Formats: sequence, structure tokens, C-alpha cells
Amino acid sequence: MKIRLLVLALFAIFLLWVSVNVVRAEGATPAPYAGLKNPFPWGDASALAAGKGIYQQSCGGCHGAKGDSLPAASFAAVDFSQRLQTNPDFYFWVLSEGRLSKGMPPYKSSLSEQQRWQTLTYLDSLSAKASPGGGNQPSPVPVAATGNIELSVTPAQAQAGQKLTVNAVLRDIQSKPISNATVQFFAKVDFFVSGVMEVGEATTNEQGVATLEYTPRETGTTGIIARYETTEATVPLTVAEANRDFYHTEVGIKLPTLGPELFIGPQTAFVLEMGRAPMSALRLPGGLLSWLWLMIGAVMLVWFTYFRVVYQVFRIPVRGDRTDTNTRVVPLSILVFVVVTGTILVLMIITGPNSNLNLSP
Amino acid sequence: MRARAAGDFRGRLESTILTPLTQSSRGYYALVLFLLAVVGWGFYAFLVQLRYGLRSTGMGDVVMWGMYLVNFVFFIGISHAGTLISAILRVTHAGWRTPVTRMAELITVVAISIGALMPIIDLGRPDRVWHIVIFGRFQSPLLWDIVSITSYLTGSLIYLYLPLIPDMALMRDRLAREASSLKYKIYSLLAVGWRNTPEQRHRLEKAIGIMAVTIIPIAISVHTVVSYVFSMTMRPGWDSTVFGIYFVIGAIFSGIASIIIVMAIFRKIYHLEEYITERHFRNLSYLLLTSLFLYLYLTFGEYLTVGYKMKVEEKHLLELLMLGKSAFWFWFFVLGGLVLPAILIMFRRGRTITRIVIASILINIAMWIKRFLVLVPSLQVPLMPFEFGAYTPTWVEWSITAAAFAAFILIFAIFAKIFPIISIWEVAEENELEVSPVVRETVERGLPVPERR
Repeated sequence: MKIRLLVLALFAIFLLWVSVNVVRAEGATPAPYAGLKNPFPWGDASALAAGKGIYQQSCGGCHGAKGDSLPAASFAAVDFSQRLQTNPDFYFWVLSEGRLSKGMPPYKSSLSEQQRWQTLTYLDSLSAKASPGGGNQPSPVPVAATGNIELSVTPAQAQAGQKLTVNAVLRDIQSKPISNATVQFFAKVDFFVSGVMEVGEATTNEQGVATLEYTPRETGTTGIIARYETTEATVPLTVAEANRDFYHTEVGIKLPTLGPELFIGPQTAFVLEMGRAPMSALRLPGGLLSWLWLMIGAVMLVWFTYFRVVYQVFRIPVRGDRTDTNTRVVPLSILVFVVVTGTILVLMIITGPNSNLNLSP
Repeated sequence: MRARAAGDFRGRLESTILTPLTQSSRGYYALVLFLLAVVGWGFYAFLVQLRYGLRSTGMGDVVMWGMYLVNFVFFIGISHAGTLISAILRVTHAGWRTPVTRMAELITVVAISIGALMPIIDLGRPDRVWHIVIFGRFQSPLLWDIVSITSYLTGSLIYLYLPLIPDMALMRDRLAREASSLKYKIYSLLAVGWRNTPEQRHRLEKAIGIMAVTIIPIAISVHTVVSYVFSMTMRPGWDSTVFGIYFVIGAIFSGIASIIIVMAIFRKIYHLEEYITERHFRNLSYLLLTSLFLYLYLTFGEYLTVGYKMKVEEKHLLELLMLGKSAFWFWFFVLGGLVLPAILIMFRRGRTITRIVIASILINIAMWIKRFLVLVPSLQVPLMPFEFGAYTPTWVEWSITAAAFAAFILIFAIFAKIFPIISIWEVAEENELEVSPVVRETVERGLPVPERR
């Protein structure tokens, strides 16, 4: 029984998460939800208490205890209370039917109508305005107090996979640059949920400039946000679709090799139809740090050891030991075999890359 | 008194080991003839395969590797016997190893030669094996295979030859009366003028010492690289990070089992009861048990991690292995190759040697099957929405497999007629060491004698 309840609760949390995220999306509330009103007065103590219980059980997992875990559906936002009280039917609809496209599940089967209104009543209390004495909610006022961020992205027109430079200039209210401050950078993403995702942080220099290199991987219109404490700045960014549908990661890892990478064969042999990924088989390690040296070194070491060992045998016959057979024939022939085979193996590894002459231009 | 006892021991040892080299029973010739016939039949099957191509095998475009590759992995696995027993025990100065080392090293050389032949037989055009030397690319695990197997084969040949030198000298000296015979000539060539001088001993011991250390990493590399041929692909069941060590442990496991079998056979035929005692079997069975549990652990871990994630193709593979067409063999491997041998080794009831030998035979059969299960079911699973592959070995493959095993025994039988199967000088030395003054002194003083291990 308990397990069933737990499973149900987990499922409910998921559904709520999905549905509340839908709230941000605009649109008229459809029937039969249109025009519904909260039966409880906003701020009703018993409804608040009941709603808090439901929220903690079903919603807090995704939305967080203060309702601010999902930026796209933040109940802690300053204007949330106002929006909720203006269009209670819209939020009641979202809570009941969910917004699966954004990850919010419907709750009409798991919560009664009354419970859903109680939940909304509680949500209202989470809004920044509803906790005047709390002081723990971020206030819009410090934006002016801290100063401002000037944000720029170069180039503004980018392609997926192209490296961008994001510059944030941080100034206080006297317009003096703030140095040594850590600026967080976020990208707007829309993947099940729309929200912001941290892409990195950078520390401002003496001119108050924090620079971040960022490589977008998704195409479309997005935005970059820089945040310092409570100050934020947003700059739009359009990532154009190149002559392909998706961003492709280049094949292989470029290791430092202390030398040029070797490619053999005609261009067509290592460019696939996507035009970007060289066949790893034809990508050869070059330079001083190539792992090929390790392989050759190991083989040479082994065969040199064989040579040393057989040389000991070669030296075994005592000088002046009179026999009618030349006792050095066997060790000598093993020595020759070791030298020849070892050389062939090493040559085989070294010349291998250049032996596919049919691929050369 | 002691000197005479030691002299007696040596005399007995020499006559026990060397008599079979000069006298052969009818049974021996019958065995050799039979083995020759099997090898000949296998050769005929190979000619048929050359004539009609790989169509005459059960392999196809889906299951493109079959019994030949199973034999390849199996024989390369057995070849680890020599390294482990000989090199590791030599490096750790385990005195009891001496009567076993020669056989172990011989298993290595013979098994690796036959194992290395298998991929060549597996080629539709064996004459093109040369292409891997001239066109081989070092990015390919196949080329790594060639490099490390060649190194291992050469290394184990040298390692087999080095401790043979004093024994060759012994043979040469015993044949001194017929100095003109071909046999004498061969032995004195191979004995490299060995006169047992201190300088010669120093050189030989140095050479053996270097080789013992060198051969261990090479042996490990060989089976690791063999496993890479599989695990560098994305196939279900092969796409695994533990394959290197899994194969190495499996190789050591089946290698020790093979030594025990070979030891038991020669002990019986050559009447070596005095030199190969129950102690050798018991010590080896401890090593066998250790590797068995390691292998069991790795097997468990491998299938658990695969089964927990249960990718679609891997679900097919596990279904095939545990419930489907291969289920009987899989559970035979688990119960007959791991559980039953473990019980046989652990519970000491009845005759020790018989128990351990039965366990070893079971292990070797099960390990051959296990290699089959690693190879074939993985290839049967379709990676695209397609039919499951099928593989049934044909008579050609069975014949060549039989010939491979026959050749393995045949080379052993011939070797045992030309060279002493036990390293006489090392065993004699070990015996002298055991009744050395140091030991006697400790006994007289009433101190505990270091246990023979």
C-alpha cells in the first residue's frame, strides 16, 4: 500500500512539474475551465495550510520548497501573485490538464477540485509580494543599487558549433567597473522545459569585463543571460542553421602531439558526405607525442631483450673447447631470426600508414 | 652418504626421464599413426575448403566467425599455462615448480603455434595473410595481434630452449660413444658447447632470469590484444571494458587446467610418480581455484552490468544465452565449468589427483564452450531490424578442429621422444637444495624447517 502511494506520489510530482511549467505559455483558458474562480479567499489560512501540504507532497519535488526551482515557472516571481489572481482559471486549467510539452503533468485525476484550489491558494502565498516580512525573496530594487551589466556577444549571428565570445561589462551605480567579481552566464534553452541553463562563469578584470567563450550547439533564436548577484542582462542570439540539420561533433579528440597531424590519401577519402568528419581510420597520429611511438618503443624493447638473451646463449661456448661441430650455429641463427623478425615487425608498424597506395592522390 | 643419496636420485631421475627417449612401445607408434591420420583428414578438409571456399564452412555474412576463431582463442588461452607456471613461479622462487616447467613451456609453444594457424585457416585466401604485413594498419587490432603473437611465440621458444641447454649437453654426453650419429650431432648443436662452467651457468641464469620477467607482460599483452579484436567493436557482448582482463584470467584458468591434464598423462605413461607428486597437483589446484573464482567474479560482473542496462541488442544476446538456443551450453559452462570444478577442488574426499584431473577436464571443455558462447551468439544478434543469424559448423570445420587437437597431442608426443619432458638439471638441483647443509643445520638445531612450497 505504502509503495503504491509512493509511486503515485512520485508520478504526481512528475505530472505537476510538467503541468506547472506550461503555465508560462500564453493562451486563452478553454472550457470548462474558463471563468472559474477560486472558492477560497486568497490568503485563507485553512486553504493555505492544506495547499502547503499538497504542494510539499506533489509539487515541491520539481518546483522547490520556495517555488523558484524552475525559472520558467517560478511562483516566487514578483508578479506571479498578480497574474494568478487575475487569471485563476488559466492556472487552474494548467494544474488540472497539465502541459506535457513542457514537462507538467495533469492533476485532475489525482487531486480533487478543492485540493487544486487549495494548492493555487498556497502558490499565491509563495509570490514575492506575499511575503513582505520574509526578506528572503530577491527584490528587483538591488538591480539599480548594484549597477548594471552591459552584455555583448560576438559574432551576434552564429552557427551551431561556432565558438562565440561573450563579454559582460560590470559597473556599479557610479558607473565604475567592478573588478574581481564572478559573473554567471546562462543560455535560454527550450527542451521539454523552457528555462535558463548555466553555461559558465567568468571573473571580471580591472575594466570590469568578464569574458566567456561559448559554443552553442542548438540552432534557433535564443538568448544569453549574464547575472551578477541580483543584476541581470540579456542579449538575444540567433544561431543559424548551417547547410545541415544538426550540429555534428567532430570525430576524434585532438591530443597535443607536438607536431603536425598526418593525413594520407585524397581529400575525398576522409571527408564524409556531411563534409566534416574525417574517417578516424585515416586520421593518423603525428608529432613527437604520438602514441605510435609507444607501440614502436614497446616492440623494439621486447625484441632488443630477446637479442640480449640470445646473445648470452651465443657467448656460452667456451673458447678452446674442441668439438667437431660448430656450437655457435644455433644461437647465431636465432640471433639472425630475432633481428630480422623484430625489424619486420617495426617496419610493418611504421610503414603501415603509407602502404595503402591505392588511396594516394 | 648424502652425496651418494643425491647421486642415486640423479641416476634414477636420468634413467626415468631418458629411457622413453630411446625406447618406444607399440602403443606409441599406434598413437602417432592415429594422430597423423586425424591431422591428414583435417588437411584434406582444408583442401576442400580451399577448393570450394568458405562456403564449405558454416560461416556466412552474418555470423562471419565460427569454430576457427573459437579454437584460436582457446589455444591462445591454453598457451598462458607456460608463462604462468614457469615465469611467475620462477620469479617468485617457488621450488616445487621444477618438474612442471618444461611441460608448461611446451604447452605454450605448441598451443600458440596451433592457435596462430587458426586465423590463417579462417581466411578465404590464406595466401593473402602476407597482406597484413605489407598493408597492415597499426590502428587495427588485427595488426596488434600479429605483432604480439609473433613476439610471444618467439619469446616462448627462446624460453623453452634456454633451460633445455644443460639437458641437451647431458644427452650429448650420454651419446658420446656414437659420436657420428645424427642424433649426437643435433644434441651437440643444441647444447651450444655447454660444459657447466661457472661462467656458462652465470650466463644461462642471467638469460633465463631476463626472459622470465620479459615473458609475463608479453603473455598478458597477447590475450589482451586477442580480446581487443572483439571489444574494439560495438557488438553486444563484446562492447566491454573488462574484456582484456576477462580474457587474460580465462586464459590462465584454462592454461592451469591444461597443465594438470598434461602432467597427469605424462606421470602415468612415464611413471613420474616420484617427481610429480600429489603436492604438485594440490599446489596447482590452489592456483586453479583462485583463477576459477576470479573468472566467476568477472563473468558475474560482466553479465550483471550488461543485464542491468539491458540495451535492446543485449537483451537479445542475454535471451539467447540464458534461455534461448545457447542456454544449454551456457548453463553447462556455469555449472559444469565453474561450480562443479570448484566443488571438486574444494571438498577433499576421495583420491586427490583424480578429483583435480576431472575438474581440469571439465574446465577445459567448458572453456572451449565459453569461447564459442562469446563469439557466435554475439554475431547472431542483429544490430538492425533484421533476422537473427544462424551458424552450424560443417564437417570441414569439425575435421579441422579435430586435426588441431590431434596436432597438439602429436607435437607433444614427438617432442617427448626427442627432448626430456622434465628439466633434469633443475629437478636435480632442487633436490640437492632440499638436502643442503643449510637445511640440515636447521634440523639439527631443532629450528623449524621452511616448508616446501
